[in-house]
Amino acid sequence: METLANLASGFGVALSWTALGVCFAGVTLGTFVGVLPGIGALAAISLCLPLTFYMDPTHALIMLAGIFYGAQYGSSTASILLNIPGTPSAIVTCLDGYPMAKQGRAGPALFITTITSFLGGSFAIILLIAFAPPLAKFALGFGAPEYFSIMLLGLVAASTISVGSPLKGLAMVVFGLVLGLVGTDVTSGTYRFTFGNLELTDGLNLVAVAMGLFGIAEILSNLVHDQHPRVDAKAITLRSLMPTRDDMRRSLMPTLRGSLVGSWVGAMPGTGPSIAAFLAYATEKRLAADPSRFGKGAVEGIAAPEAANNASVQAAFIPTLCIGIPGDAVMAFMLGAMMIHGIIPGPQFLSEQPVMFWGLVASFWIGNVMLLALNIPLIGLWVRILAIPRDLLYPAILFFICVGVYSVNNNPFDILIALGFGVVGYLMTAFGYPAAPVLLGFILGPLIEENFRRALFISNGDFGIFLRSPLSLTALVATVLLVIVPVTRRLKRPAVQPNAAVGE
Amino acid sequence: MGRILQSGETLFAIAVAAVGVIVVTIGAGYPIGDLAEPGPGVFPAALGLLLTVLGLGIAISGADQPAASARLPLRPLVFVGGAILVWAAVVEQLGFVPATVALVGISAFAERRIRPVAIASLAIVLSVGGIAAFIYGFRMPFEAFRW
Repeated sequence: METLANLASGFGVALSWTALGVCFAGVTLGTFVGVLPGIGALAAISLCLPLTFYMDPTHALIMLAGIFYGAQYGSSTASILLNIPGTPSAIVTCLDGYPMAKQGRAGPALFITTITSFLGGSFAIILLIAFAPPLAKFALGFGAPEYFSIMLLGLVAASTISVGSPLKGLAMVVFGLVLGLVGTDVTSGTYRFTFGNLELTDGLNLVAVAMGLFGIAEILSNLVHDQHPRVDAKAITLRSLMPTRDDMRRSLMPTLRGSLVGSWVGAMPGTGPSIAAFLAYATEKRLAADPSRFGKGAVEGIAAPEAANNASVQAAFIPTLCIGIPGDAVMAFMLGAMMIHGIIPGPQFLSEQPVMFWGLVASFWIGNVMLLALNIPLIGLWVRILAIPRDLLYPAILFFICVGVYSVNNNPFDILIALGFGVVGYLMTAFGYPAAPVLLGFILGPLIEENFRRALFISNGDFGIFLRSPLSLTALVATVLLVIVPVTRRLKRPAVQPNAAVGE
Repeated sequence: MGRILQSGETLFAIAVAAVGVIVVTIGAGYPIGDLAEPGPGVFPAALGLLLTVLGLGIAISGADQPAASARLPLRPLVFVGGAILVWAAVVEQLGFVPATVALVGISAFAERRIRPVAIASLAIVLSVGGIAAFIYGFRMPFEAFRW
């Protein structure tokens, strides 16, 4: 009952005109970048972070979160129409979405992905409402050893449970941790890796690193590959959207199962919407009476993964908001944004800032309703975005990157940092190194180091402190397994699939 | 366009390991402390070592696979990089509008096909829109022109 009362007050916050306005701005921008291949949610969120400095923290979080889940809605559009995922999590949607479009059923495919996105998102929001208070209460008992071990598990999981080489993932997470070292050491006040640079004493600028790795690097990669897709925007009309009765019947159970899989995966450390969508697709294919239909335009093959990736992005807020430990790079960025706004993420967030917490949760659902309205009647508009000429799009994005990075500290130095990370990020992608673990390591690095050193300080140098807490022990055992299993599997079966540089 | 980086895969892995070595070297210069009070040098040293090992591991395990090649994007790199550098250099010296016009103009050369009218229009739209949104809207400390 207390939860319902809190939720009601949350809706009070989220339904104010300003909150509705920033929520709308967030989900619209999210859909926009989701539709556009080559620029993802992370780039858009980091672009907007400096703008939110001018807002109050609640509105800032509502807007940034809206970009994130809005991008998941938009991402299926390019998958279906062009066979190019708008964001990495929509790769799976290409498998059956594009064949549907080739059969002249792009309209129903777009309609169904929007509806299942909404259902998946709503399902996970209900779970978030139900589980957040007890989980936050439970997490209040966590100390430094638990935080260290769970974060370590998250980092290792994020780098090994992904497409591509686990070694490269691990190397990138360590690289991210190294980047996190730059600046003033919290515990001792020592300047580390600042090379006498005053600008670096506060550490590398989060927006500059993220814009480099996810904005500039993406633009460079896209400019190298000369593809320039064309799409016939006029073919998508409101009337052509309506799915058949058979489509609806076939989508129902996959949507439910996809929501379940997505919520579960999303709340786990180190995972994310890509893995959720992939697992949901695999589940449907295994359960199907006739698996051979998959890959040829089966509606189940788009309903389940789209429900799953939207459920997972909402569920990802559960550990981030209730424990203060983000599961993937985007959530880590949200955590960083919260800290910049002076909010300390963690179990005390819910009890100390109930209005902000519940306002944010309420805005999720309002945002999902807005997305439903934005995506179904206005789908033709979004499809036209795919026709924006590339030679105008990239200079415009570069402009926003420069303004965004500069405005964090009003310092041109940060732009140089962003450019440096853009080049590094381009090379990483070219050689199959994922970029997302770098950002995750970079943000969690200082937290993990602080908790490690604090735990040893508490135990007076006894490493047993990490093993005596059952939760910490479990996390450490899981971490070790995550490292060992891929290695032994690789030794048994030396032929590995070619690297796919997917970083989400 | 661009130069092809043959077998850059191994080279990149070695570069990763080299970063690790540098981190260990610098990290070892910070106080290590003791077990009960680990100093600021512990994490850098440990992470640098780990990065070195991982980089070498990737180099070795990748050696038996066919070498991946990547295109070094010379043209995009020069013009995208140049555009960003010029914006960063010009915005505080000459102002927001000159910086933006230069950025759009230079980055347009990253593509082979250049449409001068469209690019010029984009430069105008971004300059005017930017003044309205960022200088007047968000009150960011830019000056439109400054000389």
